[in-house]
Amino acid sequence: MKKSISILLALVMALSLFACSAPAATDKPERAAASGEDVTLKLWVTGPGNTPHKAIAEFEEANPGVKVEVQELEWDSYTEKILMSVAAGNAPDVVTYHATMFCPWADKGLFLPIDDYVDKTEWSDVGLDMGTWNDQLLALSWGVNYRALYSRTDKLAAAGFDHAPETWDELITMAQAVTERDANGSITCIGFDVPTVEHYEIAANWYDFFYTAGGKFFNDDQTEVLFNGAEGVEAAKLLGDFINVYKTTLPGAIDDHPIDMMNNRIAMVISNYADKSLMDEAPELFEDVEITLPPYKKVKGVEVGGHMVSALAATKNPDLASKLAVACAGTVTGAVEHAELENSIPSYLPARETEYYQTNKSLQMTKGFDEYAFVIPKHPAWAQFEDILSNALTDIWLNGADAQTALDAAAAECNALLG
Amino acid sequence: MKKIQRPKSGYRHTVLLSETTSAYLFVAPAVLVFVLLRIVPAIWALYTSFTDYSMIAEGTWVGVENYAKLLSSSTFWKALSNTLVYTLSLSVLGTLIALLFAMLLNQKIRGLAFFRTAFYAPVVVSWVAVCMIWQYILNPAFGFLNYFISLMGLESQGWLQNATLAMPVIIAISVWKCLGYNIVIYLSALQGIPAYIDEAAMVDGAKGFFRFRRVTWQLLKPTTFFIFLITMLAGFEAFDQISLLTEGGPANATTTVVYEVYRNAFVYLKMGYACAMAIVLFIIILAVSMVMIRSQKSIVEY
Repeated sequence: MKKSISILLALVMALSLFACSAPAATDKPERAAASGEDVTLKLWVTGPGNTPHKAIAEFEEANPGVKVEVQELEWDSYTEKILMSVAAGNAPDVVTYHATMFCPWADKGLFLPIDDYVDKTEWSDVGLDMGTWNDQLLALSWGVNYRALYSRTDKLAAAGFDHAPETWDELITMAQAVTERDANGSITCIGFDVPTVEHYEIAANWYDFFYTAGGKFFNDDQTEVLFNGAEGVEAAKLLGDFINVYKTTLPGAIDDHPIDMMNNRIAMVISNYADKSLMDEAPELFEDVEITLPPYKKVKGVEVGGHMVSALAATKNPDLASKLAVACAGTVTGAVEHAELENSIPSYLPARETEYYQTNKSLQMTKGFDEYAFVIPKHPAWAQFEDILSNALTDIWLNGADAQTALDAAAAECNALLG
Repeated sequence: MKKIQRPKSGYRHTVLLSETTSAYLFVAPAVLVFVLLRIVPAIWALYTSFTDYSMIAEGTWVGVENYAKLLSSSTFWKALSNTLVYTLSLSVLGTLIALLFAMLLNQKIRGLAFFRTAFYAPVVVSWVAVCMIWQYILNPAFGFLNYFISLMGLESQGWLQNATLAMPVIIAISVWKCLGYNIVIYLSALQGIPAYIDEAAMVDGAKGFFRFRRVTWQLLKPTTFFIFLITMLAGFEAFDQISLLTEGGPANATTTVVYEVYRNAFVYLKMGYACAMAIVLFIIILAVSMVMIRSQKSIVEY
């Protein structure tokens, strides 16, 4: 009896812990037509305060009897909420999300093709590329964020430079010159920062340098990764040198680039942070911030990310859901409204003809970036490659691992996933 | 000996039956909730661990493939060893340090209410707030801790960026956070020890540490067992602090099994594989819990 009770107690304790993460069972929703009746569409918007009220009002006016119910999701938990709603069979009709989730979700068939609802001539090439999977347009780029170089021009000028660095060599020289230290030699203003905490940032930052060194991530049919070649090693070593040789930064010192830039703690960084917060908090300081293409070695390039909008394949109202997605991202009202909310660059080209775009200082600074824009390689397992890479890179930068050996091991791990 | 038989009919039997029925009815809601929210998802997770379910697309049966991949994954073994190190360190330190402070707070000292509140405060603060505070303190360039050690002439450290330091730092923060709860339990146990037992030991000549070891410690054993067990179970669950402070880095130095379960389920869309990982963790927790409960008698009895 005692034995049974002890086994039962142990089971209860273990189950209590284990079952916490187990999601509910699935139930596939039925597809239903909604003609002739009042319809409510569910729109889940990622990012508090990102609801496109004007675009929704315009959509509801154009579609009498259709009501849009909006739910705003936090950035740090939106993936779980969307996935669980899909698994539970009560998914929304339209979702907005970060571009990094597009490939894995598109690959699993989460989205509805919307090619028929879009005039592709009205879209930037990079915007269309971001939302295309297997030759189908499954998402609209609501707004683009470039991973560009943010520089404090006042600090560069004080160090005797009249322009932001354009090449790797210039970056090395300028980063050292603008790094400020106190009497003890401790850094008080970071010259150039290298992210070392967030996996996305670690891999993306390295990828900027890898790409501009002329590197290629995959072979043509994506059956093998090539990032452990000379360009990958060179990019990894360069970033490691900013930490260990040039000592322009201290790993983990910077948490929020715009705020730290505002607080004089950082002079240069490659970031995709929308600089809206910086502009709102300290517009006078923004006078001293310049946004330029990342420094390059062989090829000029700037990585793009951003906010996507998709209609879900599980929707009961595919036609209306597709139209709502277009209303959010593919109309001047929706695209400009989002640009105002997030200070991102509209991919819907007519929105770039508006006064808002033409007079916005930071958006104007990125004018012409499209020509050099590249999208991170599209692969459903990219998040896993990103984690493997970021582990290898932090091992090189922080633990002193040999760059070639660490990247070879990471490549072998990625190739095992591909195989 | 005359055998006592249960009455087969009549009033007593009716009373007994209704008492039993009432008892079942009273526990039914709790059992129902437990079965629905714990047992059913656990069984579902066990089934899912044999599929390639992704939460978006239907899963297909893959047999033991997920388990085979898991056992050959260096990341999983790293996560498991980190989890065990974290759990063991948290349990031992969280119990012993709490005992030490409970003993101190059980004395008649000035500002007792303040100290008790101060020690308990981290328990009620969310992990998000705790991690933000500690990130600020541990910031390698602008943090208070590096400033403090620089005053002593020591070199600045990347507390969470150094693969050797990151896990001990997370353990220290976790111990600090759980300390208040453990202290409260210990304090209530200490105040439950009748004064006459201590007085009798004093009369018998027992002093200082000897009296603590032979009297107080013996009487605190059931409480210690309880605190060690709940801290250990909390250790196996480590997720928030890992996700918020290091994302499992640098180079997987702080990743844990639960963090890997989350990454695989919600980021890599490998729910089947994540469930296999959870099942393995479940078996480990089950085994450890069984060993603990079976050894309870020999540990706790005095």
